[in-house]
Amino acid sequence: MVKLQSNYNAELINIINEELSLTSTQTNTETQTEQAKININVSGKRFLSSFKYMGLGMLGIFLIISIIIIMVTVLNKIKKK
Amino acid sequence: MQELFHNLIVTFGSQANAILFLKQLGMMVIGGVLIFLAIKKQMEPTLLLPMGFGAILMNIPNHSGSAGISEVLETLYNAGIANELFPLLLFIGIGAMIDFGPILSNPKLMIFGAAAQFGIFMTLSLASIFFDIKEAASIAIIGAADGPTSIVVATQLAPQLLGPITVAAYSYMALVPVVQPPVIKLFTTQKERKIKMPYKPESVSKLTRILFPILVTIITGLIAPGAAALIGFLMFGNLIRECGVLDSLSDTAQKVLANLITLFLGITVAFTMKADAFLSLGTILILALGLFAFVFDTMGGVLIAKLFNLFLPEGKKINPMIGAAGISAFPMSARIVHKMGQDEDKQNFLLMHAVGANVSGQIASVIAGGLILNFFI
Repeated sequence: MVKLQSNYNAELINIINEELSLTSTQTNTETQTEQAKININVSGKRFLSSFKYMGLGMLGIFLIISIIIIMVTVLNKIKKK
Repeated sequence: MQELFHNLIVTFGSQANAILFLKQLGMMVIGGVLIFLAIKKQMEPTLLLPMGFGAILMNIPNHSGSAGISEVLETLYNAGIANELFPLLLFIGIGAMIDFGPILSNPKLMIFGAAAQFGIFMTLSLASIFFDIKEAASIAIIGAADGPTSIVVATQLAPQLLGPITVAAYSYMALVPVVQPPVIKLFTTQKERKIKMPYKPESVSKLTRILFPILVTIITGLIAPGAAALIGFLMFGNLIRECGVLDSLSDTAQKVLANLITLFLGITVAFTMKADAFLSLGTILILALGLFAFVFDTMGGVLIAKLFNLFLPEGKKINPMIGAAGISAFPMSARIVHKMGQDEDKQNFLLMHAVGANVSGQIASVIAGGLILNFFI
């Protein structure tokens, strides 16, 4: 009887250990999946926010260059006179 | 192979040390490749040769003991790169070398210089997927096709990426004859490449040549204060050239100063080319993104010219290849566009228009660098 109980306990402990192991693996996988989702989310937000700099950057360059073009055109016309 | 690696581990005491040794060997090979490209292929030898040799120096195993290489290069790095002194002084020399006459006689060409910076901002968006925003901005500035600008921006925003960014910037500048023609052909038709643009040079007064650098500095500095140092030093060099009373200073700036700074710059940038930092997936990504930037720069310039052609009458259309010359790789890009025009029609002389766009790209790239600094500092 004691031996049976001991065998039963050992088996129970094995089953519990297996369950824990599976849960741990599952938790690790879930954590990695969650982390990957967060990384994709962060990258995606950074990508979308970068369009603001694209717009401002090209606008800034064209604005400054346009002013320089006007300035040079005016200078050339003044000198021609 | 496994046995060899095991022996290395035993020799160096740990797996990490063995891997570092292998990486250092790899970096010395890369240094050798840069030297080969500089000498044999004549690809930007003024920078690639010192960088290649510096990479070998920095990756000699256990060099920091008696040789003191790291200490010397670190001193030079802190003295000239960390505080942006070397690239800004180099800009004085570059400014003294540039003749802005072609764009002063036809200022509308400057639009192509602006459009050809499109690749910088496209690359910023793409790079932001893989890197944080400041690193992405530093990588994007490879598209400026301007070494000193790339160094200044990378030093301020992502100094840990200075090595690969500088290697990418100078390598792609030298590879412009390989990168640009296929992109130009992809976005233009043969009919468009045959468009003739007669060159009627307008004279430019000395007063205009003197006022130009001063006014550009003021305008740019007011709108984009981050660009003030970059554009200021470039225009200072140009003012020394154009004023007519400082010929010896202009000569010194163009030759002695530019050569001296270039000498120090190349070997000092190599301080950041340590094996454990340089040899990584990030470096490969930076090289790929740098190529992307150049491609989109070319595309941006060509497409803006095609856009203008929609509104211009026949006989006054612009050859779209001129837009591609707006990239700052002077004078290589202008020569490529002229040659491609000649390949289509021997009577088509695009050189002076291309030079005008090319020179304006120099100004626009510096403005782009300044704007990037404005956004992220």
